[in-house]
Amino acid sequence: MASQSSPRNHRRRPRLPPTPTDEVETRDWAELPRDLLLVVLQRLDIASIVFGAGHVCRTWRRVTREEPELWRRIDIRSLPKPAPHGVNGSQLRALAHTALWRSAGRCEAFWTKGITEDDYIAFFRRHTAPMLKSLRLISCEMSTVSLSIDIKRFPLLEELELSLHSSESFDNTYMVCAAAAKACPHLKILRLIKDAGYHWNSRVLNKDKEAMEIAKMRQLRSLQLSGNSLSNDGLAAILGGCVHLEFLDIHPCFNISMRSDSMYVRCARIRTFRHS
Amino acid sequence: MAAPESGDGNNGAARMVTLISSDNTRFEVEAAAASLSQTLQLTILDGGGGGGDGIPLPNVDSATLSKVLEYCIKHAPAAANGGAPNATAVDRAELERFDNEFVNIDQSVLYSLIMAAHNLEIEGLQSLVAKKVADMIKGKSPMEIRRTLGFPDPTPEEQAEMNAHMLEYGWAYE
Repeated sequence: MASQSSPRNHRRRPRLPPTPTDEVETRDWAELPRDLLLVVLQRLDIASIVFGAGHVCRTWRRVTREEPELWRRIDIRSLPKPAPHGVNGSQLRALAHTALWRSAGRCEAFWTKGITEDDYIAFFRRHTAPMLKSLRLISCEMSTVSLSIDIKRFPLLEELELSLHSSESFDNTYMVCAAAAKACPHLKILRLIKDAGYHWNSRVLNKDKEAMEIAKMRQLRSLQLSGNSLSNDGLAAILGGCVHLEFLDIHPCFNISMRSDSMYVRCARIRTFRHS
Repeated sequence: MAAPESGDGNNGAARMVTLISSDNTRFEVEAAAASLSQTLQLTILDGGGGGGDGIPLPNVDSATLSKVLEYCIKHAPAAANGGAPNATAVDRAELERFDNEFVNIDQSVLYSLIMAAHNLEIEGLQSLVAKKVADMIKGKSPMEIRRTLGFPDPTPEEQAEMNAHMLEYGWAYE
């Protein structure tokens, strides 16, 4: 790396930096040591790696393909707007597959938006992610049946977010909760968001089905239920079961009535409590 | 540029050390600033670099070393306060402004800087440059990245290889 130039200026102290004009040799970014290249690549979103940096030259291609470290956190909630790569649905899928494949089973966080049940099955039955700690499926069109079957494959899970669009899937989410309560002893954060205003319907037969399962998640610290059918009984069960709960957001859940003081008293130990 | 010598409390006047670049330029700098480099810190703690000796840095040329030291001098006071937990917002904003301007330079200088930061183990400088480079290539196509970072034009072979890989994703460029 040493550049050979004559020691012209003998400075005693560095003052203003000399502009390195005449002695700059052409530096070769393709020759950047692997660990330094990783330091740079780790600061990129995965679309920029998969569609950009990963194809710059042979060295970069090799590093982006062989280094699972780069793929530990797969965040494809939002993709760079048009960019050179106007990413569409199929490219988003390609992106998720590529990232999961390259993570070589070491993915710890998978965050995505707008996927379907088929996508989910394709991602997580074709690839394994036994180290997964955080799974966030946002605005998804899923029945969640496969997730309730699969969740035992993520025994280290600490954070689960399901935000769902379609009301057909709303009835099934209790199965996910039941499976997670059993298979994910480290679960600390649960967000269950039902976008449509369907489930708080008072005609729902068993309003607290889901709450009863959530109450079994002993390590839960943070819980957000939105558009959930739970009633005061369900809330009481959760407060009794999840003894470590610090954050609770049940807005909006219209079967909850906070008119009685006793409910407020029971919720007093929760550090942050939001309700309708 | 005087760094407050409160932390150690072992001497009044700031201790100076001499660093010698690969092209034999000598730089005299406060030990506190040079110690931002983990590599140099050990030598300096052992009493090296003082007097007429100087610490030779065969991997860093004078232009790069000068730039590195500019960074170290600016960051030394904050580093002496242990990451400056009690630094004022003004101080932090000033450092941020300095950092932004500092990396607003040609890619070839960034290359020398990140190599030097790596060799000298100056964590803050290394991540500052890495972040700048990442920002420069974010959202760009492979060809644009090559241009941004001054890669030579691809050989027809390389070009074909790039195109083939990109087609995997249903996207060809340029």
